Amino acid sequence: MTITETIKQAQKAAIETNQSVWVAASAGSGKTTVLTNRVLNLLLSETDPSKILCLTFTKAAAAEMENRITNVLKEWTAASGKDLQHKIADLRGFPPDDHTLLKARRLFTDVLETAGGMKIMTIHSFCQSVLKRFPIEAGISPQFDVIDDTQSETLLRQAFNQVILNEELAPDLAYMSDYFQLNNLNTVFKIIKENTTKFQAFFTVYPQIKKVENILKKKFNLSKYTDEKQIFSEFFKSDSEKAGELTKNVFLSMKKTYLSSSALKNKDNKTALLYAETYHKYMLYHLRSAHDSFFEVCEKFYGILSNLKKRSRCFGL
Amino acid sequence: MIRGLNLSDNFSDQVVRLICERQKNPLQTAKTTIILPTKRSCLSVKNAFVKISEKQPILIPQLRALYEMDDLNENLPPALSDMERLFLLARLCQKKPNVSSFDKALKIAQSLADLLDEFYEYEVNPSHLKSLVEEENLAIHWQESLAFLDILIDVWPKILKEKGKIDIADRRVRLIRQLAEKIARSDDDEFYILGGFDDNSPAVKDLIKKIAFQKNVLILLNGLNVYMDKDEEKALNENHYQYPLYSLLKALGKNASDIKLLSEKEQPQEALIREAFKPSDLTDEWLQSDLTSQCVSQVRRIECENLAEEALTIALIMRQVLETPEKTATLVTTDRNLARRVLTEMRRWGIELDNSAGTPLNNKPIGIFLLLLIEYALNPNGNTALALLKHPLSADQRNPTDLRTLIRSEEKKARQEMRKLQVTLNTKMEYLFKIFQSNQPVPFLELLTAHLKAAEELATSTDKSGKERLWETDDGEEAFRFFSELQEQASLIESVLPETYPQVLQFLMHCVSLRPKYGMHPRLDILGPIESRLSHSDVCIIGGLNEGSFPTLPDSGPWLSRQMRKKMNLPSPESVFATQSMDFAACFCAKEVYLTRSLKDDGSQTIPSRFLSRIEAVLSAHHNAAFRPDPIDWKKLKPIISQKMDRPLSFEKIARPAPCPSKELRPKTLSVTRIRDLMTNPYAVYARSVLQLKPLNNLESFNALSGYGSALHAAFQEMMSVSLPSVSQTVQKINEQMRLFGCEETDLRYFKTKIEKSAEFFVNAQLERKDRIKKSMCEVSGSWCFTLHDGTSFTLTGKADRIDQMTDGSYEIIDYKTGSVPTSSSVQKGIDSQLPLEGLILKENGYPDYQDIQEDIHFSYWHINGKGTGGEITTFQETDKCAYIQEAEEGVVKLLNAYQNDTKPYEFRLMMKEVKYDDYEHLARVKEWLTEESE
Repeated sequence: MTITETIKQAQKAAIETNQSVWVAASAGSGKTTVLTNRVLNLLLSETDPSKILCLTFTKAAAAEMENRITNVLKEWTAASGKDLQHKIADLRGFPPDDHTLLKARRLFTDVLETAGGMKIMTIHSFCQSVLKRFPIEAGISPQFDVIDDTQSETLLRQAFNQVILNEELAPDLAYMSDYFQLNNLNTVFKIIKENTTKFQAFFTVYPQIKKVENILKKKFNLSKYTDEKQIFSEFFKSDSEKAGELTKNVFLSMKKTYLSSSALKNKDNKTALLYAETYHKYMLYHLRSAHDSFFEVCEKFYGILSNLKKRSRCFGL
Repeated sequence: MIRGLNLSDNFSDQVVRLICERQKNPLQTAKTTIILPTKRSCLSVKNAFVKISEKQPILIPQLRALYEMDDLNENLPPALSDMERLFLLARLCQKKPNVSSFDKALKIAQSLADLLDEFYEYEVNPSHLKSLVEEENLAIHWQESLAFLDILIDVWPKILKEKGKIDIADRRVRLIRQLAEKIARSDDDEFYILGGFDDNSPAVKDLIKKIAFQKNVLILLNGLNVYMDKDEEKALNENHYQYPLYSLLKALGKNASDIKLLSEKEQPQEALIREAFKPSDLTDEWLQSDLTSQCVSQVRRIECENLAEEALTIALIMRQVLETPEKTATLVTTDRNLARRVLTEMRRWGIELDNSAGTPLNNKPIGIFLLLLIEYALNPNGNTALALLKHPLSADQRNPTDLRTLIRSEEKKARQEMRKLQVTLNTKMEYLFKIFQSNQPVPFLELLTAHLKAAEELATSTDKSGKERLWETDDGEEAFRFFSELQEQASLIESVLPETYPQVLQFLMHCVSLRPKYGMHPRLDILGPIESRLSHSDVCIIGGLNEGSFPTLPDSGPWLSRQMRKKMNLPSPESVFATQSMDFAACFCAKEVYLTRSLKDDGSQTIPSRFLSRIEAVLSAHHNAAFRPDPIDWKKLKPIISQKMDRPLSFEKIARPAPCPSKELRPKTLSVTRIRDLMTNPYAVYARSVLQLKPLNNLESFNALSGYGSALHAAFQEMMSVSLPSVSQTVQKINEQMRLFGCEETDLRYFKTKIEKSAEFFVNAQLERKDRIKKSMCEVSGSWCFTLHDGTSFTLTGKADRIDQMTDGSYEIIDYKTGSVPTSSSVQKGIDSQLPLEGLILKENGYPDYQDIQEDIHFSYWHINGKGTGGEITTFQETDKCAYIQEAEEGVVKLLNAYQNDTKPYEFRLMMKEVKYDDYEHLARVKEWLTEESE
């Protein structure tokens, strides 16, 4: 079987409506096509369009999906009999009966006339629509607006001004004033707010990072660097070949450390190895996200990271 | 009598023709009443009469707007005004849990009011809701909604009774019912024409049912499709554009095919509309339908990249229409942004249009002015002050133009200047600030009164009173009416926090739509779909044909579910599509049609309007029918025009600037800090000293750190005179100075530890060296004059932070640094030569207070970082006698000599490490040439 055939088969399987499917594939490999086809298949299988909900992450993706579906349905309406038969057989893998053909022709307007319409939206807009529908239950105004950036900055500034006058926070403020100017603080808060999960992940991993730092220092001749920032930057910024090697080495040495760790003494080696592998993946994942949040997004705040852990309460983490 | 009209029929002209043909006697015309939905539709019929009158006086029929019959008040209680109702409802909402602030309550009240209106229109008793929830055993959350809705069910009717008033919507329904009675009783010689109704409310239905078969009544059904077959009629649903008309006919016991059309003549598009809007169950027949290429011969479709392009395209089409005498055009759109952009584009040709759909009061100049004033009162800073004072309505007892000139010049000055201006403004309007700066709830009326008083004061100019300038314009009159009513009703509002005031005001102002009174273009129009009903023009441009814009998508609101609406006999949320598709269909059947849409809106992809999609789907089934290619390719024309109008004919590439002014223009005086610029980036010296361009201060983003720095310098200077300075004294001085330099209390708090440590550092350093100092001075200015190689004399100036003469006769030049300190290598390299150059001035007896220098001169940076012990002192000891100074002297003379030459350019240099910030990067257009250079 050629690669294209394999892919086609997998794509066919993914649009079967009687099963739940998880599709993971690289960009441009046809995920949206599979999604679109699945929706079309659902529609052909007499699913009420108002019972279909498609959620995506971006407005662009939602619009793209909706336009693709509308365009296919539009084509079906205008296609000649033979043509339509081919198109549907091609989609589902078996020829349609007369009823399905008729259905296919009417789907375009069926979807348009569905009460409530077919819902293809972003996660945000879906959640908003739920809130709009049940504002009393959610304890908000029925005509709520989503706050915009300027408004949120003003509110943040107001909140900050209130907090700053709190005597208890004086040591934290003293500490922060060493690193940030007051008028930059809003930006700092914004970045932290937007990356809360990443920061939390970082704090979870932080003690481990110290360990890895030592490994890196020893194994990869990074001893000339004294601070952790440089060590990690070196590790992550290295070219791909070197990074591959580094990753491998880091894994090996971590496996070793892990195998010898007292917590695992009672388990057999195989399990320990499995743990080590999982641990390695986990570490790498978190290191990457920590890397993303710290070395890229807020590189300039790195200097205070180790102390930030202690101070994290001033950021509400 | 019932007659149908084609979609393309010009309603007004048909009515006029009808009356002129049938009524030869003008007195008969006078006894005729035409009843149309809105005042706007009445106006277009009136205009049609005026048009045929050929400037002769004529008698025209009475025109009545069915939904706006405010003048009829036959034995009905007076109506509650919208505002009063809103406030009363909001007060009730405020008592509910989770609704504390008034602005929040106001929004909930509005949505309750909308629901209430719907109940009135469909004559549903709200108490029906209660039994519904109980009967249906609905989920628990409905109980919660119901607990809220008891406002409408139980409380509201009592309030109305107390007031002796009824709701406007209720009154409207009762008036329609009264009208039905009146017409039913009318004499035969009174003649009634009713037309333009597309809604299905029971009152209108009953009205028509009651009078439709009277001899003296003519019912006109606009856009009636008389060609539907039985199957199609059966398949009609609430979405369908014919649904309201057909359900009306059904109620009358009539078949559409029995209705005669006023005129058989129709536009070729009408067949297409009939086909495209077929109910879904019949759309498989699209392939078999017999459409000809004629059906879209008058229609062009233009897809644009974005809103800006769409607006320009529409403007071009409208401008083109004006080339043909008498030809008229209308843009129909729901998109206010698009409408506004088109208005702006039309100004290219000096054509002033107005959006007949209206503009909310808060977007009109007067509304903006009033909101800016509150913004300033709540948040007085440089930015809000500028925004307010630059508004054309601001005058502040001056000529408005003078004020504007003044503000523009003040704006260029420092923050301190702006503050002074604010202070005068603030003292004048002290009452306003007092009330708006309090964090206590204040009676709304007090806020409003202070607000309007301040607005009138601020608007007062040399020759006109503020009242006159604010309220005596068309918009002003409307605004005045609004505020008068608000003042009257304000007692209904409980006290609010000042910060909620602008939100309440904005919300209320948004509900007031101002329509232009005059100045509308005689041949061009911008209308909303509702306004476009019954109006007619040669060219119809349907703009913004995207989902969400045309049609706007139904919003079922938070109160009732789909099933509940059905049970209560309310129309489904999708019924809005029926009226909108009828509006679209009517526009689509104009003589000449343009359909436009943007592929992107606000950067995200759009979804084409379902109406457009339907038309396209039908057309794609018919290969012989396609949108007509336009003889003018608008898309091609657009870039040409926009290029010609908006862009220069050619672009001149620029290279890295290296200006070479003549010797005479080059600076003859520079300060020691500029010498650094001359070395690192000569262009900065050129911009500052030759072009005399100095950067403006940013008003809003005040740099607290630089305020802190300046405050430290000043505080230390003051503390020098104290022989035994204490830390607490120093801290106090720094705080005082920081306030003077514009820092806020929060800044002071933020820098608290830094301030304390810095003070400690300063006091310790002072005490340590106190006994060794003979003379010490701060902020010492001096200069050194010397002759350049061509004989020109040059002055080097320098202001030292501090010069200490020690008891051993040596000198120390001290520089306080709160930021980073130059490295010893950059001092040695001569890049940071500021201190050695000051040493040079000192050595050359350039500081009047220090003369006859014999001994060594040392330099030190006091790095006051507020960390650890508060700071650090870095001293550069002269090891070799005056080596630094000698080197600096040689260097600076050589450098200045080099620039005393017509051919030596002031190059722009990017030295990333040394140049920390560069004010002139933009002026030097770095981004334009940098990429090119690196390529």
